[in-house]
Amino acid sequence: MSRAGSIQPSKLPDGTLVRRARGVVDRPMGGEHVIVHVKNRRIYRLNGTAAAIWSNADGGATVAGIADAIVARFRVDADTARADVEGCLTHLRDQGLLEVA
Amino acid sequence: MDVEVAGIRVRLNVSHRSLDDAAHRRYGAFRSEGEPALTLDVIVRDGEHTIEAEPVVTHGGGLQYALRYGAVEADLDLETGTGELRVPDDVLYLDAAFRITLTLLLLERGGLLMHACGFVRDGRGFVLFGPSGAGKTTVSRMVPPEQVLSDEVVAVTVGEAGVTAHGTPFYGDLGISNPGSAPAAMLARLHHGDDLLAELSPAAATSAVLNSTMFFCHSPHMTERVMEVASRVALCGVRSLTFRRETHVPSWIDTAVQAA
Repeated sequence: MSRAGSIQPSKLPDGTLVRRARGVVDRPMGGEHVIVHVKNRRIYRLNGTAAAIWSNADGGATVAGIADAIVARFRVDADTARADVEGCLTHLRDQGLLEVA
Repeated sequence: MDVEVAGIRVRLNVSHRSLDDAAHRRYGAFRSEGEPALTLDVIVRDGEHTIEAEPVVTHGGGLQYALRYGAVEADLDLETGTGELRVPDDVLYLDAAFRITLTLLLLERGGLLMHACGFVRDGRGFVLFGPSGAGKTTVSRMVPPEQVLSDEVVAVTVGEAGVTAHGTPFYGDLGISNPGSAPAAMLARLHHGDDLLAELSPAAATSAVLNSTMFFCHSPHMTERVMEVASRVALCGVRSLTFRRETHVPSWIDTAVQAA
């Protein structure tokens, strides 16, 4: 457990490449995304920022690159975007929806 | 016997007398005559009667499928319209296999089998879906039995004119189902809570429809197909319908019908 005020190591370094996992079916709908994990049959709905992050995870994008895209699109500050992107990507990875390299 | 659900006719050639009698009793209201889309040779098999937790449907390429579900086995070729079903001498096993077979036939025709209750009022169809406990049985009790399409499983098809609701011979606790179809005036995800009727976003609607769709073939190709049909259904409009258990039942139904 980290103490308050300490710097936590980044779970996903800036240069990490992310891509949508194989065995995932997705469909963009009205600014959101519906995702089905084929194997475990779970269904996910991504709205707003999460959908934009997902769309950018095309295998050629890095964590830092996706954060830059979010800054440009949603006009949020870089630190907020970086934290949001990392949280979202980590969650999607933990659900087996994303692969990181 | 020939059984028709959602405009799809299936011929059940049941070689075993007692199972054939049981099938006639169960599907009698859905009898139909004409050229079938699929002819199923139903063979009674011996051995232990078991049912696995989850059916496994394997897509063999093209329109060939294999079903394995405990004591239930089926090999289907939807291209030639032929299949063989091997089940114990118990209509519940035949029913399970028939249900799964229909999900595949429906999908090829732009339709889905949903965990839903449905009813027809004034020529308009209402499909209210959700998992066990969502309120399907409660709603079905509110409606005159002859208007109920099913208290548990409803077929929906989607075309140029929108969604059509169809009765199925598959029923739940109330044991009510009727043949018939009607243009769907309302599709809604049921919840318990304060009375509220709200429109879902296309993505939320798609997600809700997918969550209530009976689908057993988990290949990427088939999942894509289910997603496509579910999204087409969703784009016709899906609502979230929340109601209190203690709500006076007939007025609640009338309110929903008027809002459709």
